Amino acid sequence: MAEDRKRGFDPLQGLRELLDKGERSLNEALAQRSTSDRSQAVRSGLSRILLDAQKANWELWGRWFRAINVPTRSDVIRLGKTLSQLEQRMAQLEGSLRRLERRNGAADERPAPAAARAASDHPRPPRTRLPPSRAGETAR
Amino acid sequence: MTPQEQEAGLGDRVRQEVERLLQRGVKGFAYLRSDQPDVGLTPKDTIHSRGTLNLYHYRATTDDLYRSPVLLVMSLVSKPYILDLAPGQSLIEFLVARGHDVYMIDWGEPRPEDSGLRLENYVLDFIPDCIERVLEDSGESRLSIVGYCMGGMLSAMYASLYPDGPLRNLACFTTPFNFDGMGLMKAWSDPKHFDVDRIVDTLGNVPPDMMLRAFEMMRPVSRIAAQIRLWDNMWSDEFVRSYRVFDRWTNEQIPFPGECFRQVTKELSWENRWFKGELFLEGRRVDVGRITVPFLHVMAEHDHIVPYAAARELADSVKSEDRQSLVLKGGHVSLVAGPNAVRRMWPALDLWLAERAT
Repeated sequence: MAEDRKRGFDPLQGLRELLDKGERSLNEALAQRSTSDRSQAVRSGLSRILLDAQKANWELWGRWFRAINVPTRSDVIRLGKTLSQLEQRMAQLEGSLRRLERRNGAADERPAPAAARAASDHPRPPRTRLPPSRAGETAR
Repeated sequence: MTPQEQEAGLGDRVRQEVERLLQRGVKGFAYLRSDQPDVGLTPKDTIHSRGTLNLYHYRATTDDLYRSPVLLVMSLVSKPYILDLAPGQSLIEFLVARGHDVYMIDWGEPRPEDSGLRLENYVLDFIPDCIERVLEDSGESRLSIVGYCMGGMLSAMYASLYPDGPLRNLACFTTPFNFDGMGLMKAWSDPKHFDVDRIVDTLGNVPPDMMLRAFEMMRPVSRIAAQIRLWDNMWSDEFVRSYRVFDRWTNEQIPFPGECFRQVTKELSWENRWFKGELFLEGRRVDVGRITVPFLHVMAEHDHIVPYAAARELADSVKSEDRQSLVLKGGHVSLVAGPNAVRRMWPALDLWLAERAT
């Protein structure tokens, strides 16, 4: 309070408050209007037009690409999907193998990631920190 | 205050305003010429990559660590660096400095061929896979998960479906649960007008521009008001630095995988199945009542994206004996980054995790 008084008259403070209030009330009013049936119908109509135009455009380009024997957008996406599926299968196989190795104890023959990390450039500190409520105790 | 003091105060004030006016001009020019600020600077290693997904491990800066590793699960629709904005403005940097062993799932930017990804892929495949990697990398058998927004939703779904899994604690931030409380989002996705099938069937993934416009439409005047505030505070380097990192994050939305968007719109928003306990993923019912691990839900009082009404019932629906709901001042973003977050949310999260880390 004393600080405010020391600062004295601020000619822009009123404008700042006006901006805050104006922003809040305009946001509320406009957001409210955007939920009306009419405004939603307009938005929906516009987006339908844009989406149909987009689709027609892609189809046109697709036909052109096929005519000159070049892969279309959907061909590339299909190829990408196949690669993703392969990657997914690989990840699943890798996971299964890792689990099998662990079960059979084969993993003991190579250093575990945590141990490997300890010996690397960024060694990991010990996990001995205690919660604040037990800070006086000695870590096991 | 005497009239002389008032006069002197007014004089100082006028001088200060003139100085600031000059600084606005000089710094405003520098602002226009400067590059985007760097973000996500906390040192990290990528320990696993799969498609666009990256699993990061943040390098420790303390002499000892809490036992339980912490896995951060980000939202699907925004870039993860909101949790690691800039030195001094980074939740991750803070947690690392407080002795937590932090990992994070960055979903990356879905490519057109990722449009078929559904909630099942995230909850039943990607998250369990990353958890396994974290446990293997850390050498621990259990971990804590912190999920932000939709990341909280995915984490809570995972916790519901794997009640006997390696999860030690679950913390969610601004996580939507009752989609009937989603306010504007719910109103705009009214099935009478919103043709989700046409969008997904035509575009595949929902483009980031569409997501950005939707978020902007929730507060249509705020962008202009923010520009005016920026000009007003252009003299303050701290304000401008903070504005720029937030502005960069706000504008860098990422595409929403199409099938997941269709599923969220139909099953969660229209039918509110998760809240009603009627959501099934690969035939398994997602029942939050099966969550029994210590649970924390932090919500923002003025969240316009995930309103309090959509989030408040989550904590009451889990069956954990140790559960807490925390409502803090601020909005959807300022809850995790910003002065309020630094003062209140970060220390609260640190303490909550620390007390449950062994």
